[in-house]
Amino acid sequence: MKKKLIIGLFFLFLINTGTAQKFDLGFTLTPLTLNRLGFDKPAIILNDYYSYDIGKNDFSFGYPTLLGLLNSGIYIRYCQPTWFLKTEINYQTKSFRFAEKSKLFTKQFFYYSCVEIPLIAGIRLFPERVCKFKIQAGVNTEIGKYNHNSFISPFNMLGLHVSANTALLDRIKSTVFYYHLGAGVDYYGMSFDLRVEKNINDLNKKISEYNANFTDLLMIRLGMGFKITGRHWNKFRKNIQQIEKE
Amino acid sequence: MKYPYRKILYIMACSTLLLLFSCKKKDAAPVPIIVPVTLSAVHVSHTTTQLEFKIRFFILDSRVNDELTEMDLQQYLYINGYSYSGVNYSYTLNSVNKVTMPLLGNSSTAVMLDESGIEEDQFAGLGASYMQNQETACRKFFKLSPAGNNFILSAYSADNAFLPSHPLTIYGDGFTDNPEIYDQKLAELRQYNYFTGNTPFLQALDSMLEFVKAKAPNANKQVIAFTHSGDNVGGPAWNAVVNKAVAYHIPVNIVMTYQSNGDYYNYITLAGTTGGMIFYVSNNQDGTNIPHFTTKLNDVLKGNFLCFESDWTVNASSPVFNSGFAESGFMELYIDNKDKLYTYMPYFFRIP
Repeated sequence: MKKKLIIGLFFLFLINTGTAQKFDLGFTLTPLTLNRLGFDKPAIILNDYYSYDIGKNDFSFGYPTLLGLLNSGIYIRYCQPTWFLKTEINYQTKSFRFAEKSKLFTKQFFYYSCVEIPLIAGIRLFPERVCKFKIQAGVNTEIGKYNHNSFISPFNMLGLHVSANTALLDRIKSTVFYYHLGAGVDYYGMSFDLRVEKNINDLNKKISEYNANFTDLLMIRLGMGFKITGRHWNKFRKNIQQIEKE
Repeated sequence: MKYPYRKILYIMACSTLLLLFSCKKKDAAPVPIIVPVTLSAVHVSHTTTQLEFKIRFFILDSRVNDELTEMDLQQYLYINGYSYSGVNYSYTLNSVNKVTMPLLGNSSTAVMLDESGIEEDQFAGLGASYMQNQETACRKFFKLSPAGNNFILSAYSADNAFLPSHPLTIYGDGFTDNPEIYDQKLAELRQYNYFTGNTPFLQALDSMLEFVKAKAPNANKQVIAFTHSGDNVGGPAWNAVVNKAVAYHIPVNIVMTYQSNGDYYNYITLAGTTGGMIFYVSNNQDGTNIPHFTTKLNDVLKGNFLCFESDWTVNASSPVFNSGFAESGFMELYIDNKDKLYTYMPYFFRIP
């Protein structure tokens, strides 16, 4: 019953926003992220009693970012010719390298799934062009930390068990706020953003005197958006046909 | 020409499904972790061709929640016979009985880590994981230590750039019950294990015995010494150190990984004579049972455990058993005949 109600409300929302010219509705995809997690001590000790060398705090693509094909959500955007406001609700899998390869260990990854709600404000640089460049800024709220096999995960819904190191999950705060800056381009119904995000609040649930604590979390992400309302696809088809004729 | 949206969507969907199914891993059956520990080997009686002795030991078995193994030890326990200088030796297991150990109360335990460096070619199987396992075992032991027990960390080595203090470096101000304070130091010791040096075991133990006698707050004083090599520095004689530990009522427990040196039997004698235990990790094992061993270590140090006592008879084809005869070897245990998983418990004693 609940599911039917949610689906019904969603379609009602879709119809309404579809008719309102200044609102866009679409879905998001975040196929690629580069992440860096900082620590304040040279080694971190996990619940299995092993220690891991922190090493250099380089950015990393992790294997879980390949699973970023499932990092998706919906967005709603209020558009004016020269500026826009946008909010998203995304399911997101994040991975961070927290230990460099040492004599004994291969590099270790810490990853979790979460729901994030970014608020974005931006300006369009060339609104008259087909390709609209934009710069944007905002805040992001990350709610919940789940492992890949939790109830929220698409993997779980598909009946797949993903082997994941979630040892640090109980040490990081469940709600993290970020500020972000970015630039991108809108092309018909598609948008491509490159965003840099950094945490605002402290990441640690509890500060440990002897174990390594998180210092900062930095992410660079490629975000994509696909508009599902409005007349942009018809425009796109017409333009393609025009190009083919020429 | 129509733009191929459907094809693109179809390819994307197929790629996603392939990726998802590639993530699905089959869980392997867990390998049982068996921890065999020798407590002591003692002479019972002898004639010139027959010797009777007893070996006390315990076996932690992950399949039965680290309680004593439920296997029929009478069936799976054995000592291999051999021939030496024209004399044939054959072993018979007479009996295996459970023994309750005397309670000793809370312990003050000093841990001595061997930082003399690993020579990789000597540890083909165990290799670099030794330091990792030594560190993890130590941390696990500290963190699982219940209230009332306390401990102190030390490391020994000679001519090691990372450990300039010779022969023993003691960390902290004294015995503590706060396991957290050693977390970074243990990681550092593991990280810098490539600073190889010599092994001043006797000097280090001699110093530690004095320290424990003077500073340990509990009456039950213990030493756990990790070692992967023989003493090659010298100092006090083995007998002198053993006698000192006995006089101070400090059992010395040995966790060792290497037997092909002259001190192998000295380590076994040291542990057996002082009331300690010998935990031996064979070269061809990966050492993962070193951390596992520490799960029950606190109970063992407090005397809160059961052990087995096996009664053996060895027959010789010629009269050889006289006073001073050194009886040594491995008691072996087949855990699983199918996987040929077996384990060793070393023993050594002399006929008085």
